[in-house]
Formats: sequence, C-alpha cells, structure tokens
Amino acid sequence: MKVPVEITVNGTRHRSEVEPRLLLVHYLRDVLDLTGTHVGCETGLCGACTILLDGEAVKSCMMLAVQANVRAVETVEGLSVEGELDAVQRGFWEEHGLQCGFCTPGMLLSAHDLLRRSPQPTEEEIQRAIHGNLCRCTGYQTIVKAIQNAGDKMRAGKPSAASSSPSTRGRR
Amino acid sequence: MAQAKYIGQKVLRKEDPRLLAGKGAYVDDVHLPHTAHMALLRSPHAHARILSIETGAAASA
Repeated sequence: MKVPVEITVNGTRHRSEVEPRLLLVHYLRDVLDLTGTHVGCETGLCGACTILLDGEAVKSCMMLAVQANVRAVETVEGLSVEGELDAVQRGFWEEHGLQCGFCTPGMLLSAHDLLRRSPQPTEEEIQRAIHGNLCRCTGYQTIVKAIQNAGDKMRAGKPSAASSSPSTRGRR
Repeated sequence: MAQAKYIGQKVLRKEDPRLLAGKGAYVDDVHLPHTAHMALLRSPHAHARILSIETGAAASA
C-alpha cells in the first residue's frame, strides 16, 4: 500500500506516492533521481547520506520518506546557486577537502549545519561536528581546514579566492 | 628566472566542481537499461525437493 507524501526538496515541492518502508535516501535517489546523496553503509555509521531536514543535519538512511512529509529537505544539489559553488563548496575546493568525493556531500551538509550554529568554530568543534561522517580517503585535516575556510568566507560575506571559479553547469 | 606556472603553486583540481555539486557518477548512480536485480531466497527446509518457484511477481517488477 502506498501513501501520499509532500516533501519540499531544494525549494521545490514534490508530491509522490511511496511505500511506507521507503527510506528517505532512496526516495531522494530513486524517486527524485538526486544521486548526489550517497548510500555508504545504510546503517547510520558513515554519514554519506547526510542531508538537511528543516535546516538540521540528519542521516537520510536512518529516516523513512514518510517521516519527511510536509518538511523541507536540502541536498548537495541545492547548494550551488545558478551553477556557482557556495562558500562551503569553495572552501572544500580550495583546501583540497576531497579526494574521491564520495563522502563530500554529507561533509558539506554537516559543515552547513555546524556553521549555521557556530559561525567561527574551533578545530575541536569541527571535529565533533563531522564525527558522524567517515572519509575513507582519510583526508580529515584538509576537511577541517576547508570548513574553517568556509566559515571565513561566510563571515566575510562574499566569495573570495575562487570567484573566478568555472561554472559547474554542463561539466559532467 | 620566470616563475614556474605550477611548481610550488596551489592548483585547484578540475574534477572537484562536479563532485562538490553532487554531479559525480559513482557506480551506484548509474542506471543501465534492462538491468536485472537479484535477491537470494534460502530454503527454510534442510532437506527438501523444489517442486516449483513462483517467478511471476519478480519477472513483472
């Protein structure tokens, strides 16, 4: 038996009929075709599926799609505005906060959650904020630097170094 | 001597913008047509004869 849900994803409202057992991450990936949110472990350990639910970081493999009914979800696909990387994405780019990139979407959204609560986090705060996100390239130190860089950019208000960044549109 | 273009310079990786925008294509993101999925169904009996298997629902999925 399917049930109707209405979920706002990256600002767009979607109405769907879903199985009550469908995980939120599978709703995003398989129903909406937003494959930027990754399934790493499906047990809540790795954090690759981290999204923002009403602004707070949650692991979308630990939630059912029906639990997100009439709520707002933000995924990695919603971060860039008109193809321009946001402050957190640029911070990761400039500080080499990614290697293979698989954990990156979850890292980016955990970073957003942290920087919203704490605009100038200490190294320890950052480590705590991403302790639920595993990076198997083990580039944690550059990720910490990337989040500090992103915080600097956000506080400065405007993009800096990578403002000459090429558009992400049409690059696959 | 002229300054080196890359040596000693910080270089932005070209592949990063798509990975940062969630536009990477990892194996799990690739959907090929006519892909079949399988699941193992184990017998609840230690010693028994399989008389028939209903495949209709699976085949139509």
